[in-house]
Amino acid sequence: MKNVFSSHKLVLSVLTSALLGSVPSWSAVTPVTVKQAVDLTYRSISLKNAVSGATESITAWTFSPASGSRSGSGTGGSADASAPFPGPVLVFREKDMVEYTFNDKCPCESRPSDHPYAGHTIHLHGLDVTTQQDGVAETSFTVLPWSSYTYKMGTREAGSFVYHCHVHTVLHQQMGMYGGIIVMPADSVDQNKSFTGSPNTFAKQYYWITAEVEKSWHDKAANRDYGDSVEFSYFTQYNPQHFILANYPIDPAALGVGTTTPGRGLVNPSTAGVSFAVGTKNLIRVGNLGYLNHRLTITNSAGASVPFDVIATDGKPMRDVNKNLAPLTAQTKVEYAAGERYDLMVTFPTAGTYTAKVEYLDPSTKTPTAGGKGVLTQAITVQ
Amino acid sequence: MQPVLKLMSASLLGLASIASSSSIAATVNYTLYMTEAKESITIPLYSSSYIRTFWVEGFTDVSGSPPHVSGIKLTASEGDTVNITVYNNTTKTHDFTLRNGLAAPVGPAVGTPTVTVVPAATIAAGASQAFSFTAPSAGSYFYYDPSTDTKTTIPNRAVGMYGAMIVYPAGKTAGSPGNLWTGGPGYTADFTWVLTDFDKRVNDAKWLGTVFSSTYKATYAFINGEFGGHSMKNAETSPVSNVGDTVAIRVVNGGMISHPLHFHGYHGELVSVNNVRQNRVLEKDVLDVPPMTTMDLVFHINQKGIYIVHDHTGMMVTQDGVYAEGMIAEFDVCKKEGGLIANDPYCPIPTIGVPR
Repeated sequence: MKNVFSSHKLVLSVLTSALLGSVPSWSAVTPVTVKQAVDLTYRSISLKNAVSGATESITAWTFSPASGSRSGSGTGGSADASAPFPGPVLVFREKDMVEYTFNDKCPCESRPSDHPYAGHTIHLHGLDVTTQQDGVAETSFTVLPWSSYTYKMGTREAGSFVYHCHVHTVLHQQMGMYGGIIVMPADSVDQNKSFTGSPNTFAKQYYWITAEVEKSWHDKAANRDYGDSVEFSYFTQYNPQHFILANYPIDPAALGVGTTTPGRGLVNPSTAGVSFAVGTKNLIRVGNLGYLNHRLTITNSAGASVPFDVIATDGKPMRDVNKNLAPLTAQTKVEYAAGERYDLMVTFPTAGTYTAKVEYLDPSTKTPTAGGKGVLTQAITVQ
Repeated sequence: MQPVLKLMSASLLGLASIASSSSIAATVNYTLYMTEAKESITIPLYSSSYIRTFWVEGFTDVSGSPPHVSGIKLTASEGDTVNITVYNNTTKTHDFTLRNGLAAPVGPAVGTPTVTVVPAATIAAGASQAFSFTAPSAGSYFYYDPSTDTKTTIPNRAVGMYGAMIVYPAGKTAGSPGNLWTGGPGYTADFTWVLTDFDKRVNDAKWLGTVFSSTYKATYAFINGEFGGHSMKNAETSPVSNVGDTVAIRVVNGGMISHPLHFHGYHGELVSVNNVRQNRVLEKDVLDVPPMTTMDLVFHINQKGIYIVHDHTGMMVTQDGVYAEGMIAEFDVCKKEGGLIANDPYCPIPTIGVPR
C-alpha cells in the first residue's frame, strides 16, 4: 500500500510544534482515525425556475449527517425536511485515516437488487483513493437501499475536493447526490491556510458548490422511469432551468470541539449572508457539481472587478516546473468545468456590498444558458 | 506505417541518450481519403441494444472505406520528410490544413502564435492533392477541413473531418518509451486521444443539405472513434500499465465543445497546451479541453487499480441518451499486476451490493 504518511512532514511538524511550545491535538505527529457518517435521504426543496421565474418544488435525494431516526424498507420510508441540500461539506485533515460510513436510507430506487444501478455509492472525487473505495459501481460495488458501508481512505495533501454518487451518475447527480470535501493542513500552524506551506493565511473561508437541475432529466429519476431496456433519448438535450449556488462557511477551529478529532466535521450549507472584514485575505473555494461550465466574477457596487489570486486547483497548489508556488495573480474571472475546483484568495479593500456572480454557460455559445437567465448572484458584505 | 530506413535507424540508435543530431531523417508517406457515408453504431442497453445511424464526413486511409470517426492518426519524427496525398472522394469540395491547436491561451495555460504546417488548400470533389513538408517540432498536430459548407452553414469539422498527427523527437518513433520533446518529460508509453462529439441533428442536416440554425448540442461522443466499453477495453486508447510506469496522454479535441475529462485514481500533469510547454504545470483530476485544442498530460502510475476516465458532463457519458456510454476510457493497472481478486483494495472483483 502506498505510504500516506510522509516522513519529512513528520519532522517539520515536530519542530514547529516544539518552537510554538504546544502540541495541537490534530498535529501530524500522530495520525488520527476520523469516523464520520452520512445518511442518504430525500426531501422536497424549493428552487426557482430561472426561465419561468416561478419557485418550484422538486424532490432531492440528498446526503445528510447521520441520524438514527431515519428508517424504512424497500420503497417505504419518510422524507426528511430537515436534511441539508446539497449535502454537507466533509472536513478532514491531511494524513487522517478516514472511516466514512454511508447509510443508504433513501427509498429512492425500485430496481431489483441484482440490477447494476440498484444502489448508490460515494465517489471521493479527486482524492485518488483505491479502486475498492472509489465508489464507481462498475469497478467496485454498490450500497443497496437500507444497507451501509464504511469507506476507508488515508488523506494526502490538503485541498478542495467533491463527492457524489457514481451509480447512474447522470440521474443521481441530477437528484442532488453531491457535496464538497475539504482536506485542511494537518499542522495547527497551517490552520488558516488552504495547503501546507502556503504563504497565504486567510481570515475566513467559504466553499461554494455550484450546480444545475434539468427538470426533465431529474423527473425521470424522481418517477423511477429509467428506460433501462427500451430505446430512448432522455439525456440528449440538457437545458437546465434551475441553478444552485450553495454557500458553506467553513471554520475548522469550530469543528469537532470537545471530541477526539477536533478540526474535523460536517458543515451544512448556510442561508446566512457572506461577509468578510475589510482588508483581510480570504479563501473562496469553488466546486462545480453540474454539467455546464460555470464562470465566477466578483464586482463592487460600482460594477468594477475585484481581482483574486487562483492559488490551487483540483486539490493541488499551482506550481511551476521547478515545483515553486506559481499562483495566477489578479484574475478577474475563473471558469470551472464539471467536477473542477479552484481555490481563490480575495481581499476587499473597502467596506461595502459586493456581488459574486456565477454564470452557467452553454457549452456551445459560452454565454449564460436558459436564454441568458442562467445566472445567480451572492451578495457579499464587507465591513 | 514507418519506412524501412526509419526502423533501421531506430534500432541502430536505440537508447534514449543518443543525441538527436545523430539520427537520420526518414521519408514518411501517407495517403488519406476524404470520404462520406452513413455509419451505424450499436449502443448496449441493460437487456438489449439499439442501433443508431448517422452521417459522417471524414478521413480514412483505406480507399473505398467509410470515414473513420476521429480520423487516422499519423506519426512522424522531427525532421522527417512527410508526404501526404489527400484524395477527395466525396461529392463536395473540401479544404485541408495541418497545424497545431488554437493559439489563444486556454484558462491558466499560455499560448504562442499558431504554427501552420500545411496552409489550407482546396480540393475539389474527385480531385487529389499532394503535400510535402518537413516534420515540425515534436508535439501534437491537427489536420482538418477548416471550411464551412455553404449550403447548410455547418463547419465540415462538425461532422468529423479531422484527425491527429503526432511528431516525435528526432530519432524517436511511436510505440516505445520516449520523451514528449527532446529533453522534455519522459514516458514509458504514450497514447493519443482524439475526441469527437456530434450533434445528431447537425449530422442529419448535413446529409439532407438543410440549414442548421439551432444551438449545437452534442449527442454522440467518441475517443479515437470508439465509445463506452469499446474505448475502455481498447489497449490503443486505454493504458494497461504496471505500477511505476509513466504514461503520457496526448489529448486532441476535434469536437465542437470542450470536454472536461475526469481522471480517477491519479492526477495528470499538464505539461503542454497546443505544443506550448507550460511553465506552470497544473496537476489536474479534471482537465477541460476546449475544441481544436491539444493538451499533453503525464501520469505517474503510483498505485494499482482500475481507474476510469470520462467526460464529467452527463451529456457526454451517454450515447444518444444511454448511460454509461460515450467518452470513457480507463487506466488498467491490474491486468499486468496479478489480475482481479475478490475484496482486493486495489483490484477487486466488482460486486452488486457491499463486498462480503
